[in-house]
Amino acid sequence: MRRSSSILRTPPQAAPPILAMLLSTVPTVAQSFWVQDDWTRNFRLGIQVTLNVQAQLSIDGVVPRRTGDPGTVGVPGQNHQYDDGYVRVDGTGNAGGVTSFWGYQDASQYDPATGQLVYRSTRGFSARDQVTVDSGPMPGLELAYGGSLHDWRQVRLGWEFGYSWVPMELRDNSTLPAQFLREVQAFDVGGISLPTAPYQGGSSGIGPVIPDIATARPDEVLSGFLSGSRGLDVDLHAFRLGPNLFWRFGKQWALSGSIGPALGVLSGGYSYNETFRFSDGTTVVNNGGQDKLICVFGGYASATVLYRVVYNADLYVSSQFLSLGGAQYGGAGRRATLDLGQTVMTSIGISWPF
Amino acid sequence: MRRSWIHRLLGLLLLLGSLSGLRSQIPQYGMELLARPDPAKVGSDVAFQLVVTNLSPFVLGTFQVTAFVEGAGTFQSATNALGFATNQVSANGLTNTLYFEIPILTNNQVADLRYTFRPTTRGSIQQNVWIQSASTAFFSTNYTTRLLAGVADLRVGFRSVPTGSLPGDLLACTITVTNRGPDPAEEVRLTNSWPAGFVLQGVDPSGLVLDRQSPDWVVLLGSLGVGEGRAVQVRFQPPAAGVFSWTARAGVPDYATSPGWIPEATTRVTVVEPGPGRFQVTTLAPSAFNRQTGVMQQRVRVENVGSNAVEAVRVMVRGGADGLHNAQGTNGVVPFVTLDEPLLPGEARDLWLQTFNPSRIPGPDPELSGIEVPVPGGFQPETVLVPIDRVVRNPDGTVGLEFPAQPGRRYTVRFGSGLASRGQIALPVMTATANRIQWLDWGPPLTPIPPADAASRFYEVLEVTWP
Repeated sequence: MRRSSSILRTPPQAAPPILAMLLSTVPTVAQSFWVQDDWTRNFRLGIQVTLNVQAQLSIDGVVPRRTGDPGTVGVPGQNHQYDDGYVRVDGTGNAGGVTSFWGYQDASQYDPATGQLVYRSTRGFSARDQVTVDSGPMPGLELAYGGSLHDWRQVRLGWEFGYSWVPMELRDNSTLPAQFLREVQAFDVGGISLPTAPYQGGSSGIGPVIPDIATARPDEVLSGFLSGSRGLDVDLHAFRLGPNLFWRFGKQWALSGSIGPALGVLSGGYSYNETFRFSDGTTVVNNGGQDKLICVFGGYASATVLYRVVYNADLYVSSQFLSLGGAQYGGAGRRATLDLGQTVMTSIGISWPF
Repeated sequence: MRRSWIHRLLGLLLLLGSLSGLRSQIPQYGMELLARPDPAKVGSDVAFQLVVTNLSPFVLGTFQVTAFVEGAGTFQSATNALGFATNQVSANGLTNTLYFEIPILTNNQVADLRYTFRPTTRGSIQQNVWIQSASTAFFSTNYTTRLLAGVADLRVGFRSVPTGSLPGDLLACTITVTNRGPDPAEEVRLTNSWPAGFVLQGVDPSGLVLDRQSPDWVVLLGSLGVGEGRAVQVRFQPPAAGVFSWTARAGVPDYATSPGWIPEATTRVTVVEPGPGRFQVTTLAPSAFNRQTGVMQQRVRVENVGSNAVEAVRVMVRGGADGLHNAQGTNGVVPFVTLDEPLLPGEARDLWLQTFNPSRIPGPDPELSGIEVPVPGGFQPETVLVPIDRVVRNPDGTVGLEFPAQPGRRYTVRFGSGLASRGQIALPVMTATANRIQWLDWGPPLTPIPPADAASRFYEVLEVTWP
């Protein structure tokens, strides 16, 4: 292990205001210490604020709805899930062609003319919207590990590997006009006296039962509004590796810079938490999303100012420019593009040379 | 307390006197130890009063009393009006040695020595007391003071004691235990003494520790705060007819009760042999699936073919393919329903049997038989009123009630002829399978007669919270 060359005995000095504030949290130490740049490795841990991340969110055309499968008409023993109720297979396997495992929401679903319960399932909607969302400052975490390759007393050449974690949420909360498509199915009630709505039958097989074969009715198209929010919930895991130049320019002050390639791993994805508000006054909640893992590549450049507060610990402030490729999300009418091309990250924390 | 010079002088004179001529006389003492309270309570001060009387005809000097007190606790104070008192605590804190010294105790004079402890553990305080005077006479005696963890008056009560039962019926009744204080009770035990031959089927709620000690058995109820109560349901099976006495007694180790308090209760369980009535039970139609209830229903007729009127008839249902959904009880393994309406000779009643069949197709007819029984009763569950939000009087004379429910909870209906009547519980108790229950009063065996035949009928829906 190489030992060093630059040994400076210094008394503590007055720090600039931002560091002075941080220094106030550090326990009082000895009145003086050696600033000894004999380290071969260093480790940094800090909190990070990320700026200048944008996403383009758009809805364009027909968006299918994938939740609440209404099942097939004319086939017994099927599970049917609707916006306003359910007809499912009960514990007897729908013996006798009837089920106790059914429920409905509103008395208006009963059609006395046909003796049927009518159920609706929204299968999709049509809307148009495009918006650019800026993230604002997003807190995160930074870790970095580095080493020294060559030492010229005050100046040292080394390497640095860094990791940043940034949870991101970029959402569009606008309410949009929309056209909705509803699939309609009906079930005979078999002459029973219906329990008062809302009714939620159980799977035991005991209780009022209805036949389990759905019949189709014409689909409905109606207007309304799409409210709620939609957007990206992703975690950025950014990794970087590059050469590092360290320069001690004061008794306790040092400056470090690094540049190199970067890799971004994005976990999470597009999600929506919306409400369909139909023109007939009814509403349906529509939640969902699609998660995936995306890798993006690019580069970084960073500069770090370090202030030695105790024998073997520095406070640091770092600024980093990170440029990564864009990431695409969505599909089938929904689209989101995450722009990480001009990301700025500022971090502050503690560095330990050893 | 320091002895004065005159006390010391008198003591010396008395010592010399005893050595010179009084030595042959043996001193006599009277000694009494009082404890308040007795028994004492852990955590509360116990005051001891040691009364020593000089029964000898002469004056005693340098009179010493030593009390060696064994038992975990904290010494609080000691007083000696005629002299001084000191205490010495052992290293392990389990013993205290109290010294009382009295310079002079004249003839018939009483030394009133007082000291106070605060015991910390249950058990007892053992005391050895020595008396020694300048005449070297020695007197020792032992005292024991019982230490209680507390005082708790536990009230025991029986509820839902079944009536109209036959040998072999699976029965249940409830025992309640309430702590009336003044102290919280820990490790409450409920000891039951009942007739030999009674078969204990189980105790609810599950999880209670049951100690089966023939003929008695014990349930550990845990802790009961002041005013807190606990109920256990005992399921049992009487093997024979008779009137049986059953005593339940609650207690807590190292606890006392208030004077005169008896923490027990006794009930009588009456079990009778079936009456001599004879019946013909026939099916009126094949079993059929009912879409409104989801169960199979079959109408049967009970006819009194005997020569006497009967109070109630139990219809035993054997051999059916499926469980009797509306069973009101079980004898051995045979479920039954009861028609609790008088039946005159030659008179017949129709009633419904319900079975749950997962295939929803009729099974073979069950084997039916009738037994004369007393009117059943005794079931008094703890309930909460549930609002009825729909009542339908159907064209066939039945009455439908609808009320909100929570799946898994249990409900029953109480019915009566008027608002003021106490009413009867319609059995069986239902367990909700949906968020609403439709309950249909079609008459026997749910209610004694169809609602259409009753002059009036009032209903209230109850959620059964216990048992």
